[in-house]
Amino acid sequence: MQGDKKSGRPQFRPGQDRFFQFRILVFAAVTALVFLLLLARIGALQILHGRELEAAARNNSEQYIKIPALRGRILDRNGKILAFNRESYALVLLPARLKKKDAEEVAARLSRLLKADPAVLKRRIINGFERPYDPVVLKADIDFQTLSLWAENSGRFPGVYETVLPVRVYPEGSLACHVIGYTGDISVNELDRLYEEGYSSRDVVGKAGIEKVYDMQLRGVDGYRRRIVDVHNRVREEKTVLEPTPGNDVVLTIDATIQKSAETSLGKQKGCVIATRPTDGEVFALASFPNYDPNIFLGSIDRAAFAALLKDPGNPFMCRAIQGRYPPGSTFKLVVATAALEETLFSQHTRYYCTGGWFLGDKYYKCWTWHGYQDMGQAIQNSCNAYFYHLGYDIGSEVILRWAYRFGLGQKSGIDLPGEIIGRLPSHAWKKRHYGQPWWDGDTLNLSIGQGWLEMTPMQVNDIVSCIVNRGEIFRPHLMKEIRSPLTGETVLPYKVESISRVPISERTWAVVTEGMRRVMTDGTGKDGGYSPVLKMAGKTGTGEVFSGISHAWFTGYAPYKTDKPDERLVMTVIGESGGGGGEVATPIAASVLRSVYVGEDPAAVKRSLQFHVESQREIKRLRLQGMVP
Amino acid sequence: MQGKNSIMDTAAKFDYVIFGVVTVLVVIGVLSIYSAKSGVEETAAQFVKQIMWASIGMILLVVLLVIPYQKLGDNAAAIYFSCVFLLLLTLVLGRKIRGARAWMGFLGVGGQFSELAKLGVIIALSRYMERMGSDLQDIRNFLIAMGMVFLPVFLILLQPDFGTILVYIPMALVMMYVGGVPIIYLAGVVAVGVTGLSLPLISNYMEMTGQDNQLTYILGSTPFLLGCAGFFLLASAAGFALRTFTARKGWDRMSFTGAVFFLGFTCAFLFQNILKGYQKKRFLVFVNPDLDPFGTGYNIIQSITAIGSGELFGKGFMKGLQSQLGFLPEVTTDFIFSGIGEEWGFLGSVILIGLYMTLVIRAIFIAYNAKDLFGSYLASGIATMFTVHVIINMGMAVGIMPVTGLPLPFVSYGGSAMITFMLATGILLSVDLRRYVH
Repeated sequence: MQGDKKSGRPQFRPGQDRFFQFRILVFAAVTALVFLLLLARIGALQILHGRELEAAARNNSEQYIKIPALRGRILDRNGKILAFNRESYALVLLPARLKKKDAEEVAARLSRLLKADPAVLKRRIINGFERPYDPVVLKADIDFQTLSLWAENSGRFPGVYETVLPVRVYPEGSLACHVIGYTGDISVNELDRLYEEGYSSRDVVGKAGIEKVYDMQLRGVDGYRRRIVDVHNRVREEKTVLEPTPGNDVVLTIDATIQKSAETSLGKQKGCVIATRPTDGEVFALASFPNYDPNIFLGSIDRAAFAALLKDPGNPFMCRAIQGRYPPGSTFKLVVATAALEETLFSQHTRYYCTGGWFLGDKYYKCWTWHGYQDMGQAIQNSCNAYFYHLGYDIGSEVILRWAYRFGLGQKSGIDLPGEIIGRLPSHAWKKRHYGQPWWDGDTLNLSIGQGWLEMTPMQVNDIVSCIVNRGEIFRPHLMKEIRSPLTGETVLPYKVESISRVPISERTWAVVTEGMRRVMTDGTGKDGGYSPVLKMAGKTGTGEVFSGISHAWFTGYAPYKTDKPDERLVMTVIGESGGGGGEVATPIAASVLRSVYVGEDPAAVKRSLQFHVESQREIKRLRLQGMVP
Repeated sequence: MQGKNSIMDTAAKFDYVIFGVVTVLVVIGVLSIYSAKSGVEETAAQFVKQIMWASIGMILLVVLLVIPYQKLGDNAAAIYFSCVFLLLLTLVLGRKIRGARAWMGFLGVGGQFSELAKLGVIIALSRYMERMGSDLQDIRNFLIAMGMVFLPVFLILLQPDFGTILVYIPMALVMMYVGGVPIIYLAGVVAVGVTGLSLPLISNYMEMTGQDNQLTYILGSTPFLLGCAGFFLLASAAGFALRTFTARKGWDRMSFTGAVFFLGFTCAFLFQNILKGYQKKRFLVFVNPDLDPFGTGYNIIQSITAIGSGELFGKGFMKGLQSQLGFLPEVTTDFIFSGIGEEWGFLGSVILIGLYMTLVIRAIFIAYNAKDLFGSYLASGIATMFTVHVIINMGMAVGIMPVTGLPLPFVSYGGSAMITFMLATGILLSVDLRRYVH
């Protein structure tokens, strides 16, 4: 290679350097050696072991077949089963046994047999060829008729066989469906997100609720079966080489009885009911209506039913407790009152006069009736808007907004459910950004009674009362009580109670606000709807007004009012979406659930009687105004 | 080059062998893809696309042939930093496919820029080494050169893509060896890598296979790694101080050794504490596929079976049992050699390796004969790039190399890789064309 030396080379040429020459030669020699080693290995494979590997290839004797792990169960706090697996017959395809060119034809036949979408089925089969020894589930939970129809014509479905496959069953139907969620085949997006966690393309994953949040715990580890087949694809030997590890059971904090009471009580009213224990954040009931029956996803998702649910204007998949945004209305007055007592020199004895409203400049902001002189306790009891207009104007919006943030507004509650929203806690900067206007005093007045731009989820409202009951401590609301091994029954992962914030609330403030809340139930806005001589409740009603349409009915409170055992207390929040007044619609629901919990009454009957009580009291009031009765 | 009969001139000096080898390889690739995917209509279009990529690549090759390669050197900084920028952009905007954010594109046009960045690094490093000349003996300049290589490597590791590091590091080491960088420095780099990977690997491997004991636990524990790192840092600092005060060159060795092991233990510490469990597991499976016998391990077993069953003469075109029945995974990309080995047998393997050897050895002679050092470095870098791709891709198909996504040059399906290899060939031929000094 020195042959191309030419005369008259003016500059340095690398090839002239003896050391350079040596290094290039070493480089070339090492490279050639590496290639020869590779060739040697290939030669060893193809010539020395060629015969045996050829035979192995012809038989392709070894196949690994996945055994899906049994998914963990979901239990309520008393061990009642809310989700488990039932054995069902399924039709499965082993792609290795199907010739690619037949795939389309077989898919068409299968879609007629299983009454499934041919395009979906075809895609699933084509994708299956990527890992030919992973069975593709065509349809789980098939009925006997389909099975026998298939068995008669099994020759026309190469590669398809029947197997027993567990399907997810929710024995209580729609009970707590928003908490439990449902499962389905992993989607492309989910796979991208979860690929690194060891998921693969034919997995079943939780799509919503606890099934989704604790999927890693519930899914377990798949096992494998080794199958040795001969030239004619007859199975010679079959052995489980890796036992599947079943998924762990998730024990919820939900109490199925209370949950059932809550759902019965809510009835056909759009909205939600939340019951939590304030001392540790355990959620005892979380009901939301409209709901759905997760069993429609049994086997594989029934597309028509699923589409119908998606199109439902009531939006049954929405968990209103954490995904519904509503103006909190008068329930927000608890925050304003606490802020005033804690942060300013304001006294609970100061009285403001309600003339049926309050003048700011020349604009009259209305109260819902005429109250006369009101101190703070009375204002909470009667939900007097005029008082809170005046109070809010005095203490200013900054104080209110700061305290609202301390109570957890503008933040997620942190409950272990997917898709929680933040709601909206407005601020001066926020208004400037969105409306290009400064914060007016009128905005402060609207804020003081929980209207205006304020939007909260029922869970956030529930946290306000929990905080007050706890004298300032908020625990993260949670649904998982513990994760349990299905084999030993031992707790694998207990829930660690987490205090998420401490709001400084003094003894005085606590007493004023809780007494006010108690008086709501004895003499105030919750008197008729929450009439319960057997159980001392405290609470606050609210009516979240919207620009168009019917107002949302709120109730938030707790029971028993006074107790030696704060652990036995429940905080309850109810919203009746477009239900009307809080005292008339939401309060009977809350009271009936609480009475069923503490007194053991039938929630439906209690609710009916309370509604009747509300109506009769309203009628009496009307007659009294007309002078018909004394 | 701008002479009257420049075309004749060019035609006379043009390396037809390399061009011919590349063309034959592309044809082999297209035929294999056609054979492997003939059954499935949805992917049958792959071979058409591959022809398209090869054609685009050929055009780009000619473009690079016309441009004097020294122009690349003049713009080395711009080329290098655009590559780094594209890698950064990929991390932000890239589409996540199978857990790695490696592909980026707009309006359907895009690619894996980690492929193109290989050329950027070769060009920049060649330029830097040419400029430095014998100053590369100075460890500071050597460290700057390593930094130039590690910046893109780091960005690619973030995607995450472990396989690519196997191309960059040998590429840089070979180029520097050819450039006359002291062997001790290169050995230092290897030592850092060995220390940084072996300790956590041993510790984690033992833990995963249940053979862990007190010793293997300690090897991967934070106090041990940090303690060692601290010790070697002190040793290095002491060596440096003594060298400064006594002015005796012997202390340099101590300071150098200390620094190497300090870096090694620091890497081990970072490996242990930054990577998450599943990432470590993926790395271990990458080293030993037996840890995942139903995933990656299955692929290798299938691949070995297919290649072995090809025997001496193979089963013939489109008659491969394994690939035709779809037992082989990724048969058009990572495991394309499995299909070739099965259908063309040992004879085909010899021809294929012969073609690659011709290409690479020819490239090394181009490095030998180049007009200037810049050309030499370019050609050595490109020769190493081809070698590493071939060895690792075919090596993993026969079970002697870890499974990575490295494509077989010109043969594997994939646009980014095809265009990168074509560009590399263009640079190679351009260096060859201008070997005579006028």
